[in-house]
Amino acid sequence: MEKEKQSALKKFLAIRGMGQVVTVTVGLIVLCIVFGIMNPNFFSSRNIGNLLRQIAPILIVGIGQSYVLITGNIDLSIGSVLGMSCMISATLMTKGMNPWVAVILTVIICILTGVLNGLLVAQCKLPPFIATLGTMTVARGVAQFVNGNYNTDAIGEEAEFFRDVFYYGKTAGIFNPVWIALILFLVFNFLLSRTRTGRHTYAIGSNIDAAKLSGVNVVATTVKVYVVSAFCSCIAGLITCATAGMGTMDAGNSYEMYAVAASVIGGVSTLGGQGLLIGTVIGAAIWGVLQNGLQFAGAPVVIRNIVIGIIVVVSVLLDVIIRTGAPRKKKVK
Amino acid sequence: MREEVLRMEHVTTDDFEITNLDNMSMHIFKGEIAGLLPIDEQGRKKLLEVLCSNAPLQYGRVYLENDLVNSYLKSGQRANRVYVISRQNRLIQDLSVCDNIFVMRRGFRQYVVNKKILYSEAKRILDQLQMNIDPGAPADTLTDYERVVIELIEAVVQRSSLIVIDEIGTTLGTQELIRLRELFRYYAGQGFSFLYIGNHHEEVLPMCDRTMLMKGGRIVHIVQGEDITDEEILKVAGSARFPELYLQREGVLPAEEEEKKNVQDQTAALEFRDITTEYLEHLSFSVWPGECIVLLDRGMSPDDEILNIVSGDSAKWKGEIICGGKKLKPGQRKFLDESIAIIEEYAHKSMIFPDLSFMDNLCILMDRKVKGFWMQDKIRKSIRKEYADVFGGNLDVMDMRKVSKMAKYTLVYYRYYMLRPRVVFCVQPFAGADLYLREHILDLIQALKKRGIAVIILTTGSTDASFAADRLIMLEHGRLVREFQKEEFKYLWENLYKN
Repeated sequence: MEKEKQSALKKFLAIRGMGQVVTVTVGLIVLCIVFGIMNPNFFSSRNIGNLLRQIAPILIVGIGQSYVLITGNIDLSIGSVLGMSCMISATLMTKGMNPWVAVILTVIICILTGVLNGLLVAQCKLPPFIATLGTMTVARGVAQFVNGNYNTDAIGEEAEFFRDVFYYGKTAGIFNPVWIALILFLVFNFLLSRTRTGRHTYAIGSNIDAAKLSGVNVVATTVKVYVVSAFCSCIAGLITCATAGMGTMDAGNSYEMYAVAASVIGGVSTLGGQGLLIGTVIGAAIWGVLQNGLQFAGAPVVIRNIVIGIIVVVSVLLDVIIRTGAPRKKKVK
Repeated sequence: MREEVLRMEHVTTDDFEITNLDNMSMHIFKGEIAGLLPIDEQGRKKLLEVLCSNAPLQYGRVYLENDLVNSYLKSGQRANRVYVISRQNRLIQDLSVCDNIFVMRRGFRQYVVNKKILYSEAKRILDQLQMNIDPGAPADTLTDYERVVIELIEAVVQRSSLIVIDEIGTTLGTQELIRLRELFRYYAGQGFSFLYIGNHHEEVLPMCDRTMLMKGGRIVHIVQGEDITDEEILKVAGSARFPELYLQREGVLPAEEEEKKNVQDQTAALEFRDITTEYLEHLSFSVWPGECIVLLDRGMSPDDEILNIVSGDSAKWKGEIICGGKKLKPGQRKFLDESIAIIEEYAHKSMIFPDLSFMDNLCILMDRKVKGFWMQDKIRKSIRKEYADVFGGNLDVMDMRKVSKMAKYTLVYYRYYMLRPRVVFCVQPFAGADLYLREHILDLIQALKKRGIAVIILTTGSTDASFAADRLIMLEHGRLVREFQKEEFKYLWENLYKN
């Protein structure tokens, strides 16, 4: 029995990337304890509720970015697509459109952006950095253009239900954005770990040439991951819109970096082929706890940014060292 | 008395617990083309490290042009004037040929580059070698053979003490190797020394004045010229199965009785009808289920052309390809999913997904056979059970870095064994493989054949392919020149590397 338990634990830890997930989970617990000691309000139910709500959009964009990173690419347009989603949905709602029709239209437009990203990277062979930098600028331009270079007015009382669903409402005592993030996590985690597309996503990031030779449709899979990323950004945009009750042109600024931070802190490799979405959850949680905890501790925004920046760089550095370094060998005494 | 260029005395090296070179002693004279035939892989990589960059030694000494450059007492780890030409391209692709020869060489000190002088000097050298290459052409426009020649010239221009040729036989055709041999002889006559490393004695022996057989990290036998028989080499190798296979090829032993199939009653697994591309000319052949044929091109490798066609990457071809009775249209990728599989050379690297677990690597294509495969743990469990004898504990391995090279080859071949496509293209399957691994790959090919899968081996000269092959189709510059049956292979290999 003891042996079985041991082998199950061994198996669990042997999953590639799980080691890093366990490490950052321990880090998260330590951070929570430290901030809890520094300020007992940190563990108040109100703060935890708000903290989870704060983490939700970061987790959602993190899931999208993780998909892209696992294929060995990157999506820099996440923040701008989020802004575009926020502005388009808000503009349509202020023009009197039914909020749900506005949401569907917004989702379609964002998905088209994802398709464009995927085609530019996989079909046209543009470097992902350049391709998504381009769409980032275009999407931000669209966000500014839709309402004539102005933020929108308040989305109005007709959209009250929309605001409840995406931000203010609670289900089973937990804010709805947390549920949205949880559902997206469960769905995309299932897709990544239990489906053909998921295996192909890992295969492309691990060895793209072998994937091609094995008959994997690299273009289709890459388009799919960029669509996932754009869809996640879109949902985060809708949450932002519901939060503010209006469309703001600079919504989602720097979110692409937060998404990368959540992913790499959680063990998703920037070199592709490796990563678990559960790691992204922990990564997003660390990001949120640091923001929240440092705020409680009275640290200025600059310090928070520096701390998170350092953590991201160290995470990537560790990943590169582990991935490119030779396997450890026992030294003969 | 002949002048020694390289002398290695009792060199022993180890990386942690693994001994690489084990009391290795060898010498190479000035103007000599020495051959090295590694029977196994031990120490092969380390030898190059020691020769090129004076890797630390546990014991022994290395002298280069009579200077002690490395010893167990002191290892400076400084680079030696040793140039390695291998299958890996060392030229800067976007620079011109003359820039690569002169500007990129070690020791080029001039600050201002005079293009005219460099161009004319490069032109002079190339004319001398009767090479029709434009010195101003970018390096990425060169063929593999031209690339090797330019690297050779670069080595000569920088007056390398020793030029190491590391397994280029898998990159070049036999005719190109024969032409290259003339260039080696020319420069050996000028006092340059060569160490030619190759896995196949049929290739190495005619190339070299003297060949050293390396096994277990040391030299175990030295052959002058070509004065050795297959059996003697195999005796040195101590291989259990290869002598038997060689004797079968020589006709001394009867070939293993294979189940005779009436091919007339079957549909061909794959048919090429009058295929013409930029390189191939009116190529026609067919392969039957469970049959293995070798496509051998003495000119240059046709892999890229053929693979691009069957994978749908290229639509620029004429003719007809029929796979299992269905016609393949130009640019169609569908067949790579269903009927055609490709195993690239160096399959232990090129076909492996290093970030996936062993089981995921093995089953990566199974979703084509079983819908929703990744959701069905039962099927995965049954695969695990069925193939436990083949893979043993490897099935539980999550980190592919812990898997041996041989197990990786088994994984790749069994991936297709399980998928059972109509035909598998194996590109240079024996490239970089030592004798023991080559035996193992032959077994894997046999397993595919027994499963009813047709195997097409694309090679430029690997003699091992004949052990698995039923027929051999010889091409010269993309044109079919002759088809050999099994009993004619002996004649072919005896003359393949000769003018």
